[in-house]
Amino acid sequence: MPHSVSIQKASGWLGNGLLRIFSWIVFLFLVSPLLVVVPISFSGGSYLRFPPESYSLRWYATYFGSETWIDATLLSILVGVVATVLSVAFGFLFALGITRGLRKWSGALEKLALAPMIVPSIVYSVSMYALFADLRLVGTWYGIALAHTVLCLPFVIIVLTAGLKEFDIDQETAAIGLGASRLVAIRRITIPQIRSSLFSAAFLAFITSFDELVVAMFLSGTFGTLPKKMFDNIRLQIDPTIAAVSVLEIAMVVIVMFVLLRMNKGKAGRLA
Amino acid sequence: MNQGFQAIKAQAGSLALVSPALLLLGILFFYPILLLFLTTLELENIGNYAQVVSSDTSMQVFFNTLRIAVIVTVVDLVLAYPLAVYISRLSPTAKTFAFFLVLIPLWTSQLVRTYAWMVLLGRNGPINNALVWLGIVDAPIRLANSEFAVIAGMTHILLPYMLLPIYNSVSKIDPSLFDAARGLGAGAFSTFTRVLMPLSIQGVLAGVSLVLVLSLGVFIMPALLGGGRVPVIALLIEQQAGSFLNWAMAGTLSAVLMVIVMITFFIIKLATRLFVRGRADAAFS
Repeated sequence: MPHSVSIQKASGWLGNGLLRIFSWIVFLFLVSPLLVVVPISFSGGSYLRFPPESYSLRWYATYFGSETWIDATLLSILVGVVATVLSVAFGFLFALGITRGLRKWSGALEKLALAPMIVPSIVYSVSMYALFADLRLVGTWYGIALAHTVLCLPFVIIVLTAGLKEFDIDQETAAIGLGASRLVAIRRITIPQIRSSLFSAAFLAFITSFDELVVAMFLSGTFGTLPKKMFDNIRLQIDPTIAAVSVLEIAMVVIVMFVLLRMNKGKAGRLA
Repeated sequence: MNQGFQAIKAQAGSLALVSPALLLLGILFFYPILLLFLTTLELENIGNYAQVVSSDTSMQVFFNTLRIAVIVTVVDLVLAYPLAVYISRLSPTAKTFAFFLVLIPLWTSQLVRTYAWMVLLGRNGPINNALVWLGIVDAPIRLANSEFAVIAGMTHILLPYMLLPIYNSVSKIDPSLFDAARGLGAGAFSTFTRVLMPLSIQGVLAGVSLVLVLSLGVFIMPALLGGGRVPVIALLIEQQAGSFLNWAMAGTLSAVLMVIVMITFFIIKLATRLFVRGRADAAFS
């Protein structure tokens, strides 16, 4: 029946064409909101208008010239770096533990460690506020960093557990058999080979903290992290400074993404 | 004997490795949440539960939150599933590019993305400009500060969480199964319902549970894109704590939200257990 075969072929083509068009519309939906911010950040007027009537760098100048914006940024970097270092250290040990031994418990332990992902940040914030109020940690930057460490931990553990499962554990055993201590084997054999996972984990941890609003809002006193400053700015006086900040953040993400892609030899799927 | 000792030593070593993270989670995560629950059950606070349940306003807020979460989840599923299938069929280079397009918005600050939606939906924004230019409306209409804006923003922000687990399942399906189905006379529709869908149901349920759970607790989008017109639980909790300094009520509402999230999570888990076993067997028998 050549006729029915050709109909089937034609409908297959049509289906694939529709799938392609639909998919590119969804891609456009994913990316276009971010592109809209770019021209706004270069606008000359102080009004939110798209496209802007004139162009300038004044909103970038406002950001870099404003002490409160820069202070908020530096604070967020400090909190982010501390939360990243702590969560990667704790998460790496945890991932090593559940991929070496503890076979029976590793699944349950991993699920336990991922629990912070499903608890709404508002619930966590209210809980932490009560705890930190007792411990007099409300209004300290390290209090926020500790709470962020908890929120970063699940992402670190997911990435590092996947990385360690891909790694051939026999190499570590071989090194130990050749007389290396377990610590030396991990430092010289394992860590260099999961370097790209470690970088991905660190980056995910950093942006999780750097982007976190609700916990920082509850736990910070008079000062504010960058997301809190952005939130107040959007709520109270929506001027294009926020667009300039947004473009700087998007640029940071794109640059780090290129670096990670190179380290993963182009396998973008591993970054997800 | 020696071997048994080695095994115990290895177990103890692994236990030492996982304990710092478990200790941290215990002190700074499970303990404060447990404390929150216990505080709401104290005698002077327990009446708050009755107040929440008997108040029309707070019940309405709960239903509103659930309704928005379900809408966002369904829209994301409809958008993400075909996209996951499409990406899984791309060449390696094109796949990298596609992931780039998915991961950049995922990794960009939620506040940046919410702000972008405010620009997009603004009175002088590109969508209003296009509507006026096309003659669909005479003057710019209010798109921001509405439930539509909140749903659009949430759909955008949560889409990658739906896409990635579905892609994960779809990309593991052996492509020769589709040729086999076609060879055996299956059309596009029955290939979808009898091959593609049963083999990717696990990813679908993982994506659904992630998006549903995340959208129940969402705060930024309703706060900024809703313009005070879209009441959700997270906003109610923030209002009780931040504006009224009624931490006891904020705690009770948090506990109720947590219970709703956990019920949702376990229902989907149960569905996964039922579906995945049943359907996978059916597909292979």
